Amino acid sequence: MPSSESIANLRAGVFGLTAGICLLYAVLALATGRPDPMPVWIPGVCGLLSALLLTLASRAAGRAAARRAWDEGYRADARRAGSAAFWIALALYPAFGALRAADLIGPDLAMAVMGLLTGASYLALLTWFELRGRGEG
Amino acid sequence: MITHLARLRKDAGVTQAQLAETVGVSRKTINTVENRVFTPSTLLALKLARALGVTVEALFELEDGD
Repeated sequence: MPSSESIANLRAGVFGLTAGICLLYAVLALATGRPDPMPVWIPGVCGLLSALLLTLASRAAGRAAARRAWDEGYRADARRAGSAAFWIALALYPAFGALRAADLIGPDLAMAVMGLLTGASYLALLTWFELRGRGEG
Repeated sequence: MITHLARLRKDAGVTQAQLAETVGVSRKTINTVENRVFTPSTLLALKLARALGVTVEALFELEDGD
């Protein structure tokens, strides 16, 4: 039966992995100039699998352990990550607007990169807050 | 806000993990409260105080500027 710590470890792992895949996709898209540098379903399926794994682990852990894993500390981290990712997402608009205005990037590519960077920033920040808060046992 | 949680917890001979289980949060949350990264809710502050047998005022106090 998973403990609250193992759920938190799994969460950091799958969120970090999904953030990395989103970031990799965005970087590859920019580098190749293509909106589909890898199969387009990979980031989305990775996110869905993460959600599925975390749901199954939380159910297997039982109510008490799951509540400890998804406690108010986690919710505070999620709010902070969401707030920061919101401003990152807004900042992407003028940045990619300028690239579009200069005709350096196509609309499909801009849409793909902006969307993936928004998702990657939220998940990466959430993972960072999770790992930074652990400290010494 | 100044927190005395770490000192009072150690005085009580309780680990972060044990206190976390008692009050129903993760060990990380206890760690972030002790390190002043996270300000707990009123409910959690009351649970922490009860678990350690002290008052909330003994656990936390306002500092200049709060």
